[in-house]
Amino acid sequence: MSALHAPITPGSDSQPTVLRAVPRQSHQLAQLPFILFIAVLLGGGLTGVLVLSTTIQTQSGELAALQSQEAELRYQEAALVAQAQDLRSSQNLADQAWALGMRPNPNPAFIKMPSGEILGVPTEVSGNELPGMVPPAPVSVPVTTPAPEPTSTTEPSTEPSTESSTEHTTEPTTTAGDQDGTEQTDESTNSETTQPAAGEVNP
Amino acid sequence: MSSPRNTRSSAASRSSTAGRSRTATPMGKNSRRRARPGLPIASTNKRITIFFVFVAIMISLASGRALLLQGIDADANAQAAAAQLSQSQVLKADRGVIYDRNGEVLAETQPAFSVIADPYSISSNGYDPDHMTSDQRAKADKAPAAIAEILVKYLGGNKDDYLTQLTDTRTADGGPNQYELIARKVSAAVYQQMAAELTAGGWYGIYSAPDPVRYYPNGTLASNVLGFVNYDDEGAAGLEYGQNQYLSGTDGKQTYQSSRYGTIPLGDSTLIEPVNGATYTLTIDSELQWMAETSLANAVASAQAKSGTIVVQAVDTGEILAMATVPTFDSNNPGSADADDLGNRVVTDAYEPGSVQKVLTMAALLDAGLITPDTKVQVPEQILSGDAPIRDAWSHGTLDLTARGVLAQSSNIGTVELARQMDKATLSNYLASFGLGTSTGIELPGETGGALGILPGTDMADYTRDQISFGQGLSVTALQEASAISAIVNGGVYHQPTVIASATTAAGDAISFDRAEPRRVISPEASAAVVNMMEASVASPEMTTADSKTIDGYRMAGKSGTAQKADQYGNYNGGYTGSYVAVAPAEDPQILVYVVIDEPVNGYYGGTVAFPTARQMMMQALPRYGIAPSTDVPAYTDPLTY
Repeated sequence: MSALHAPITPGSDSQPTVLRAVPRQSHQLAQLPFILFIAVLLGGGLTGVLVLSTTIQTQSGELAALQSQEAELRYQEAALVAQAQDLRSSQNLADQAWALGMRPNPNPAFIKMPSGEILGVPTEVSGNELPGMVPPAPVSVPVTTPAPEPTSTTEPSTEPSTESSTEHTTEPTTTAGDQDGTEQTDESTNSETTQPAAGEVNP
Repeated sequence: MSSPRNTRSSAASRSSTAGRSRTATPMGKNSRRRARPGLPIASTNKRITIFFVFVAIMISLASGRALLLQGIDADANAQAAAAQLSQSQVLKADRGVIYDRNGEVLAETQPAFSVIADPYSISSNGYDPDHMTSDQRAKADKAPAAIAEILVKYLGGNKDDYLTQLTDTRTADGGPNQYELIARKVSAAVYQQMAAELTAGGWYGIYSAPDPVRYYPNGTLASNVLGFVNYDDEGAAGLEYGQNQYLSGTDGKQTYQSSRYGTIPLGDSTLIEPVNGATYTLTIDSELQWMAETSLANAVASAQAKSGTIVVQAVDTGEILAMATVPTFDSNNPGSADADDLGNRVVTDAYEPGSVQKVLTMAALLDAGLITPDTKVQVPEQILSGDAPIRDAWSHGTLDLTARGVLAQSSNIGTVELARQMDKATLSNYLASFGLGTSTGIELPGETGGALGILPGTDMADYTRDQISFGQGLSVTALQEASAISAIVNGGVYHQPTVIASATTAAGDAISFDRAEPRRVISPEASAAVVNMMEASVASPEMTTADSKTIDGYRMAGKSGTAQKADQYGNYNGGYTGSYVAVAPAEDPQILVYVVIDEPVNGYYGGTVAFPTARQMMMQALPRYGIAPSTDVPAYTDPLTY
């Protein structure tokens, strides 16, 4: 420390004007670009950090929005899958098939390959072969069971939900049309079911 | 080193004294010079000392505080800081999916929410209560009513009930009430719409928590097998209960740091992924199950019976293809059903099996070599057992029946005469080997205590032996009886009944189940003889009963049972149990159908109330599993009489 201070005191004694002017100018010239450089570096750095943090913030906002959209779509998917499962459940399919006039055929025929031999006698069903298989509940009930689901899916997304809701509106109308035709067969099967049952009891 | 410092400090003291002198100017010229040396801090050294002491004290305080924060209370402080920033949420594990044998979903978990209200925030509609404009105040006043209306629209219920909850702004201890549970298990899709409407209306204070709901797409189908879950998503009955430890999975947890502007992008976050429950594939065939439930419901309704059960079993594996009981319940809504109907009667209800039990008696006698199907039995009008006579269901004089005829015509007297040839201990041991009196080992809960049935021991009384030979004086469950007969017609090999085909954890590892090895209970020859005797009751031209009705193209064997039920005093006047067991094809039995109708009113013979259902189920099950019709169905000619 003392060595640093030493030259200043003797310097002020001897030739001050010449020696002071030159280094001052050269110092100023050297400092300006350096300060500019530092300022640009600092400014650039600060701007960079600002841009980066803003970008990250924005992206995190986007991420949050996309995540909530993903959740929303996942929920819709779950509702639609549940609706599909409702419609394809054994109970619903059987009831719809019954409403369409389809009846179980207990007279199977098998074709043996490659010989083509037929096992069993293919027989047309009359509809009363299996009186115990008449669905006990009114046929229209299972068709209406998925009804709460369409309301849950109609609003959030337009495309899939409108498709599903139109399916819903069309399906019941077709089955309702067929029900009129099948109800008669229902009655006939019912009346015929009691006959064999009574016949079985008597002997 | 010391010299420049001294120079500087002396210069500093000089200038400061000059400053002081200026402020001291009004005191007078004379006093100025004298007062200066008199002040205690006028000395440069003292000032420096005081300054350093002050700095040292400050640094000590700061260091002490730092030590306190960083060293002593470090954990508590770090936790408090982290707690302010960090949020954590439970990531619910999905309960395992249950499929039927064809991959149809029987039970799954659907996203749903609990709806929670924050009445304190609702009272100011989310604004700061101390700085609200008059418009904001006016809107906040309308908030509870408006929110209640939206709740009614989406969740149903009563507006006044919601209003009571929404305006309850203080807790019991006077603090702000920020938690009111409005509804549970609200479908995610419904909640989304409701949340959207609340946001659109500018209403604040309704939020949600994950509350997944168990969903059974088939409703009542196989509900007795599946069971149901309670409100906390824990299995409460059936398979859901029995396999809860594997089905439930393990919840995960997510922690992250967030500020009022949302998640801090590069903040600390941890994620423990939830482990979903195991996936189960059952042996149940949901379509056959539907057929079984439908035909059983019709049978119970037409017989005006109290209840009914049905089991359809693959005899060569013990797999349960369908297992139903009526009345039943909807697994989605078990609360609406009668508590007595929430179980699985097939597994839990023991009853006296009646004449179906004669199949087991004959199997034991045949295997022991004591009889053949053609053994001649002279059947008297009645037979004395203990001090009471045993009669047949129909009045007759002395009959000359073969053992086959005894089974086909279901003669109690003939069966007692044959059973008396076997000692009681051997008979009891045979019945025990058929699985009576013990758990079948099926993966369903409830096979304990009275549900194991009662099998008299080896030291039973003579009259008890007589009774159990035709199905009274002992009790069985439908599953025990079905599995026993499956073993008898399956060449004599018993398979433990099962409803689970496979189960896999979320990681893909198979879950193994403790299953008894198949065991031989009677010889193949005895098995074939039993099937031959059972076929007689369906196919013999000598039979004229209601259940002597074959299936076109197939050879079916069967046995009916009609048991009087004992009342609470042990007297046989508590109604009837009508049952029927059918196996087919008789040349190589593949499928067994067992139907039990409890307390029928309109008819009571097993051949009347249970046989039509068993036959119709067999008619549908045989082609369903690709069992081709017999190329040649010979006329049944084996003799029932001699």
